[in-house]
Amino acid sequence: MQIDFHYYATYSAAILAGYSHEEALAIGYSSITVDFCTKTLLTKLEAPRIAATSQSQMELMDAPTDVMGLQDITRIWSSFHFLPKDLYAEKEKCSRKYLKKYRLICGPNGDLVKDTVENGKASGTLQGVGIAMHVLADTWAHMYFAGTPSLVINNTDDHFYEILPDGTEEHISFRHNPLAPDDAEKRIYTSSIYQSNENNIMNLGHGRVGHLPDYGYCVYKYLPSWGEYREFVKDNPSDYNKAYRQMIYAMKYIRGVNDKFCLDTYDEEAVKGYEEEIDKIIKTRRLLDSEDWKAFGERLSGETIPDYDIDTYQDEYLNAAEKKETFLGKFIDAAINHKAMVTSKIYESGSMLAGYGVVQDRRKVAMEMVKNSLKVGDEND
Amino acid sequence: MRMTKMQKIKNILIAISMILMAALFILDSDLGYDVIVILLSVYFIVNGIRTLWFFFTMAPRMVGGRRILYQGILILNLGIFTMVLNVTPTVYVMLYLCGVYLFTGGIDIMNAVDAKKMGSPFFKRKLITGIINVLIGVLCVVFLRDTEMLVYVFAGGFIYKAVIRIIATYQKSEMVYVQ
Repeated sequence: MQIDFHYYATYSAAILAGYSHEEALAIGYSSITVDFCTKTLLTKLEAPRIAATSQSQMELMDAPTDVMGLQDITRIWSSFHFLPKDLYAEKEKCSRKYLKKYRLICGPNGDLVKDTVENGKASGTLQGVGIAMHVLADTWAHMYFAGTPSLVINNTDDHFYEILPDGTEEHISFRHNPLAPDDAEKRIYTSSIYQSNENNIMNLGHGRVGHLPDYGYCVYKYLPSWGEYREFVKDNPSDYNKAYRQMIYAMKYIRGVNDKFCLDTYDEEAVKGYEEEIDKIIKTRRLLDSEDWKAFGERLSGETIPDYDIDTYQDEYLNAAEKKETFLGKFIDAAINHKAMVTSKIYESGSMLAGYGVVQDRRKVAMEMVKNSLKVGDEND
Repeated sequence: MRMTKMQKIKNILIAISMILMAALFILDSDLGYDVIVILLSVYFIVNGIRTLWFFFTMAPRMVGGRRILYQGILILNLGIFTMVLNVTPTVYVMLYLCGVYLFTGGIDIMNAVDAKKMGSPFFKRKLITGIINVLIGVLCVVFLRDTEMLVYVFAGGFIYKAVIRIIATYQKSEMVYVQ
């Protein structure tokens, strides 16, 4: 998803979930910052680079493609943009190597979504909530792709058709010219080039279909590389509507309004009276819906939503003595926490594709080790 | 993409080996001819097996996976065929080398045109590589029955590829990625 959904739509969902304007702004801001928090930015802020939630194009070009490099890429993209749906999925007659990549395929309502929401709640910060909402929303947009470079999972072919409201189908074409904008009317979109090397960066995520999953209006069918020639229909309008309602439901749980978070549950009550307007925004044939989402959010709250600016909280962070108490400090903490959780889960499932889990609080682990050794009668001071 | 230190060292070692081999070919053209044929065949056989291994372990049911299978079979067959060429007249080896260089050169030129359309400033290197490959292919046709010239052409190609490899090791290559 793009800034229209991650910032403006998330803001409006937070308002409908009962957050105040300032709180909703913090959530929306944190949600979209996930797309911009790169190692380059963190270096500039002298912040821990392990908190990176995204990679810029330059960083990806520069990224090494050895085992460690691929693990780093997978850690970021699987944690924040392509949350795996089922880390224990089974597939017949395939190698272990293939199965590990297959298990990273993103999808909504997986166990990790629940863990993500719980993590967001446990963080106790609006930044943690924002990160959780970004991840949750992306499970809907980016389903069927994996956050690791993989030809056998993320590739597609020429069989790509948009299904129009009247039921007719029109062919979608892809070109490899990043200088030309996507053309929604002619159905021509920019995508990455075919590369036969399994671990080539061109085969990361939904690069092979460009931004198509991020356009709410599009209903299309295609043959995902892993689908064994089965046709899959991706109904973006329906998915985006569900994502929106699930975000409200999740945020109500985090606020304490609901006492538990269940998968496959959507808050229809909160959007009563707004369904048509939300649906119209999503289905408008347009590459970016920021204006409409912004207007909607401002009408809900009666306040003005400032344009997103990555520089807003940087001075605060750079000049603070206690960086953890700043806006970005809380974001960084929440990002590290979330990444550690997802990476550990992937590792526990028997896959080294994301490397080892990150130990966030070494002091806490060390204290536990000391307590355990004292319990067994170790008298070492 | 950026290479790791180990990848850079490997690239440099390969380049040095290629230059040493080219020198060997020039010093003893008869031995050079046999070595050329064996090297080519081993290269294609290994690549063919690698591609087929990848297909059977990762892509047997992948959409479009059969392309990888055909690629692997083609490359493996090329390797075995090249091995057999050891007992056939020079003219066939020359024709074969001519085909390889012309094909590779053509692909490089097409890639350069593509890169130029995408606005990449690095298309020039690909274009020059393509033109040189095509020229080498043309040279192979010109000196069709000359074993000695075959060895010199091959040695020259080796040196050229070694130099390109060294340059590529220390130069960032541009890739277009849609985020």
